[in-house]
Amino acid sequence: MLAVRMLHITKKYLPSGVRANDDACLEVERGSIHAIVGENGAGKSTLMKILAGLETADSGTIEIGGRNVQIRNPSEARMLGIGMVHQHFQIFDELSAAENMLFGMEPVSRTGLVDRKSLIRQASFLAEQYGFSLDCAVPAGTLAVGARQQVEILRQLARNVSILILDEPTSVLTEQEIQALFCKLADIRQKGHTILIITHKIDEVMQIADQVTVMREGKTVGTFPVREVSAAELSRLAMGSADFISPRERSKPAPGAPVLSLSDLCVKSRSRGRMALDRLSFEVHRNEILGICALGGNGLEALEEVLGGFLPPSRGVCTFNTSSFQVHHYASFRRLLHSGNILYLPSDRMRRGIAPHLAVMENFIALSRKSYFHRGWLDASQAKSKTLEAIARFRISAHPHQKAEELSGGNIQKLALARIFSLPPADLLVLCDPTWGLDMKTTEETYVRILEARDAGSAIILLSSDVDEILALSDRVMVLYRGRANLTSSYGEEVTRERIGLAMLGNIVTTDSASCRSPDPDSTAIHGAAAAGDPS
Amino acid sequence: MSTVSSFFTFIPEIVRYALAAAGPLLFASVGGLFPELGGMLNIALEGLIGLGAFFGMAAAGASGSLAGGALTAMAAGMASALLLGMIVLRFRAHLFVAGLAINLAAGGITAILSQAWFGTKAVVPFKIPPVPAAFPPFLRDIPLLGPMLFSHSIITVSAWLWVLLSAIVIERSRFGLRLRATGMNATAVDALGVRADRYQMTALALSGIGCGLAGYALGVSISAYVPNIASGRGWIALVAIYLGRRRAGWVAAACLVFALAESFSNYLQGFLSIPPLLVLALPYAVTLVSLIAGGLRTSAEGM
Amino acid sequence: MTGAKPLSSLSRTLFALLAAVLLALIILALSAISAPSGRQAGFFEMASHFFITPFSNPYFFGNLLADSVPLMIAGLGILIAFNSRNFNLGGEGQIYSGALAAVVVVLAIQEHASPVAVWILGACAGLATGAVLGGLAGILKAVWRISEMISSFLLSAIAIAVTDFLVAGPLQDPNSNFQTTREIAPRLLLPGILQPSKLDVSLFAAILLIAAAGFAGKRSRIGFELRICGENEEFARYCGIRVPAYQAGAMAVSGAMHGLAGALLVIGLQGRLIRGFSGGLGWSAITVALLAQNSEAGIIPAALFIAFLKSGSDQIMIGSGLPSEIAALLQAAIMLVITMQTIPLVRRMKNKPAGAVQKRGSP
Repeated sequence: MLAVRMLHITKKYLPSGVRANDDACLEVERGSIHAIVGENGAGKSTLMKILAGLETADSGTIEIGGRNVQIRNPSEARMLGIGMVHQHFQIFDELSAAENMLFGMEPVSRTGLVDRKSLIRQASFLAEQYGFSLDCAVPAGTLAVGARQQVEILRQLARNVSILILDEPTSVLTEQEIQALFCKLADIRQKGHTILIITHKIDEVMQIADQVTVMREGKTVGTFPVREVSAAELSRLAMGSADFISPRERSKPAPGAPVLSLSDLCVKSRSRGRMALDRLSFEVHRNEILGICALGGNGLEALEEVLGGFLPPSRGVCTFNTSSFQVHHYASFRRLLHSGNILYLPSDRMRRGIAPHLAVMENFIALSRKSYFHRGWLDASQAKSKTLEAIARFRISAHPHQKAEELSGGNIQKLALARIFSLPPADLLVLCDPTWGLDMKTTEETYVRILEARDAGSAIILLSSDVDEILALSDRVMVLYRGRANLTSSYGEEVTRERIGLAMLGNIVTTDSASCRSPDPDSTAIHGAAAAGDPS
Repeated sequence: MSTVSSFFTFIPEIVRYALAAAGPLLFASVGGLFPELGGMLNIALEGLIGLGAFFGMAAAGASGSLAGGALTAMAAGMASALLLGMIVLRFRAHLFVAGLAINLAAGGITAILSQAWFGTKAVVPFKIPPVPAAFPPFLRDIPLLGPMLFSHSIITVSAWLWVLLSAIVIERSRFGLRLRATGMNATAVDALGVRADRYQMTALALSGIGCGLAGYALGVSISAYVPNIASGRGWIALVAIYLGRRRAGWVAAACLVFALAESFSNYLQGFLSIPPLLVLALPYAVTLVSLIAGGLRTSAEGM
Repeated sequence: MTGAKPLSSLSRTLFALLAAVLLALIILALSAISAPSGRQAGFFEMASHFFITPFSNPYFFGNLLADSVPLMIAGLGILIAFNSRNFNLGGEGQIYSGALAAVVVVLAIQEHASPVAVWILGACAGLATGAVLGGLAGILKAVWRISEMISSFLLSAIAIAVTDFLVAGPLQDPNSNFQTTREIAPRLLLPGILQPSKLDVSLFAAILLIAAAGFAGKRSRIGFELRICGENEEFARYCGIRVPAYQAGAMAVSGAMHGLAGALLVIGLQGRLIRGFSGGLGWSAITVALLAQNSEAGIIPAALFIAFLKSGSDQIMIGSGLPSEIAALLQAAIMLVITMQTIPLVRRMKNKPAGAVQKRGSP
């Protein structure tokens, strides 16, 4: 019996004309957990948003429980028993968990005021019913991420949704919270609900889902029972071509003198007492790529802000080439950034990397504007010709006078990359998630450019949440956990995905991978231990 | 001339004056708190106060009924605020520009109608019944507290009741809960099936009612309508809303502080003979200083 | 969630102009119907007063042009503030106190100075005063995130009160019955054009200023960096642009423009500062900037149109007794109509003081 059937769904986004969904089809069995996988931009979110009433398809039909329906807004979706938990939670931070859960259905006492006791009672009952243990009276903003997600899920269950959609539910959870979530999802399925999960994490799909649909570039590639397909096959279907060869197999120059050395870097966290970065120290040399990765919330974001010139640390000593200074005298560091000695590519290029209403040309020259404004006035012809050069070289489909906001996401990413790589090589490059949002071909080209920059003498710090990228490019790897370096490899040392994964979860990893201790919350920084170990 | 004895007479007098002078500010700022909680700052308060004063006094003068005047004032404020809401929410106009437009239009309409109905654009006196006192005479006779707390008119007492009722509605009622949620995340509210724009409209209507009453209170206190009767109170109310950090009680406290400042400066004016034109600057100066102090404190708290 | 297609910039402007004209006609019609008979001019007569008389002879037309000059300069000031996502609500006080500063300076030096020196120093006095008032609000915003709307308004209100006090008090002209300062020697005033109207050469100054600002905005590095600040603050920081400096600076320049507008008014044929003479100019300047839709070139026609509305309203006041406050209503109508359906100029200003948030339509 099919809970949901979507046929020939097409949706175009104007003005770029990109087809978010291209004749996509989906069939979901009632009472199953059905995963939808695909890369970024494959169309999974759009398809689910159409189902949830947040978007309308340009064409196609939807059947719920066998009946043909129109879903024009979230209310109509709710009438049909469809509810969605978004990747970015829609929690009202200042309201209590109970008020969040029962929002729109608050019990009212005889005086016409909200009956608080009844509200908390109903919310707690609902939570217990599904096996969640949640303090419903506290402000939702103070709950941990996993708990906030539970509030979101319960909120949908309170509205009697029979079809629950989860958008990238595990992207913000710790490993333990993920396992807890999966148990809950199984329980919810037992009670007869249908669950749809949007994700790009194929290993999680193998763990929890009954059926999986693969999407790529807006189209549905196929639907399979999870038991009958392997992770590798799914990955291949989602990515569309054979796994690219890691371009590491080249001879490369040996690392040179240290370019940037940071010691004792401390950054206070805005919430929750803990330091975002806790006495972090590391070095990066010429002709070397240092890859730094971590799970969300462990300091990677803070490190990017510091290195990008957006967040002054509270302590730390910085040595750039030969001059040393206290890093909290942030102006000196920012001078390095803005004079071109350090080039920084932000991870959130949509928010930080473009001025949407300005032209492509203006966006392109913004970073290096000194060379385009002679004595204060613009050299328009030079600006335009350099922009055209970059457009050709980086295969950006854009026109210099077009407004940046009209470009597709992928082209905006390419513009941000082009801006950095069109400049003369700098002493230090700080690249954050450089290939996020790029298609396969451009990703390969970018890897090549990064390696070329390294070989030409730059030092490169690569901050990425993508372990594959880290493994493909880095000469040395550093893993952050709770603001400290939990693993720092030395040059030439082989680092496996398993070691990185364990280090990201807080396991203290020595060079002898057989002995792994589980995370000790009070442990002092151990970055010295691994580096001091024998680099074989 | 003993300073000690004058101290004991002037403190109660200052407090009494302030509690009464706060009335219009309370009506306007606590009313303006509603749309702010819903995520839409209403900067048309100044104009709405003027409209309430004009139409309220006109109705009171014509009907001879204080209550009739009050209802008209509330209706005028509410209608104008709803117009603002419709233009912003339905036609997607810019909130601040539309608010300014209402301020401009309010000045224009009152001038035109004043000329048309009463033959003058300047002061229009009205004959209205006297405003009843709120408390029985025996309470007024209590030493010290009597004059301070119990000598107020029903208008002043209504203003403080307005604060109390609004606080209850905001913190405890379903409407208040949903309105606050709308201000936190309007898209989430819509996604959960609650019509965010309806709550925002209702909140704007409430701010219109509040401003209408504020204007009416001002008019009644001088038995006349005067152009620019609001004298900046609409803007001061905005600062009170900002300082009050979205809690009705704190907004009221800020209003009281401003009223005390006004009260003090009136007293000092007699004492120190500050030129009257300069005295006009004082409320704005006090408000500006409070605004800056509030902003400094917020930024010192690290956002 | 998908609303109606957004109106284009041109259609919005046309609608706004149409709305103003229609509203004027409606008010005229209402007045013609409801007025006591006898002293009232007929509808067509009033309409001709409103629409035609302002252009009918050099006197009226010159006055219309003269009225548009401060609107052009102050409107440019508002535009510059908009470019950095600031809303300057202190225009009234900046114009008024800028005018006073100019009068004070000129009266002080007029014994010994040449006309050109007087013009330059008077203009500078206005620029400086306005810059201080605007700049203070800008600094408060840039450093402590205090709403520049409210702080600029409050500063302006204080400035107006102080100016009123000075004009009616210490600076009062002993020879006059009105509340006004003493007169500047007529030989020192700006030369007039289109006499006997009050138009003077400041018209050319205004046009030059707007042209310069437009050019600088597009081609200069400062204009470029300012636009980036207004577009995306985070991106501006990424590019190493010192955002607080631009924010404060833009507000200071905005205030300076208003101060200049006031100064030019008093060293023009007016020659003195009469209390309250500039009332309403600051708010009209905002209407002008909105009507100009973020283009410097658009300020000139926009200012002319608003000046026309005022002139027309003044004309029918004479004929029909309708108060000239009609102009305020017409401006309000323009402001409302022109911002319907988020427009590029106003979209820049989606900063959020005190949590003001707008419902957004489809992406």
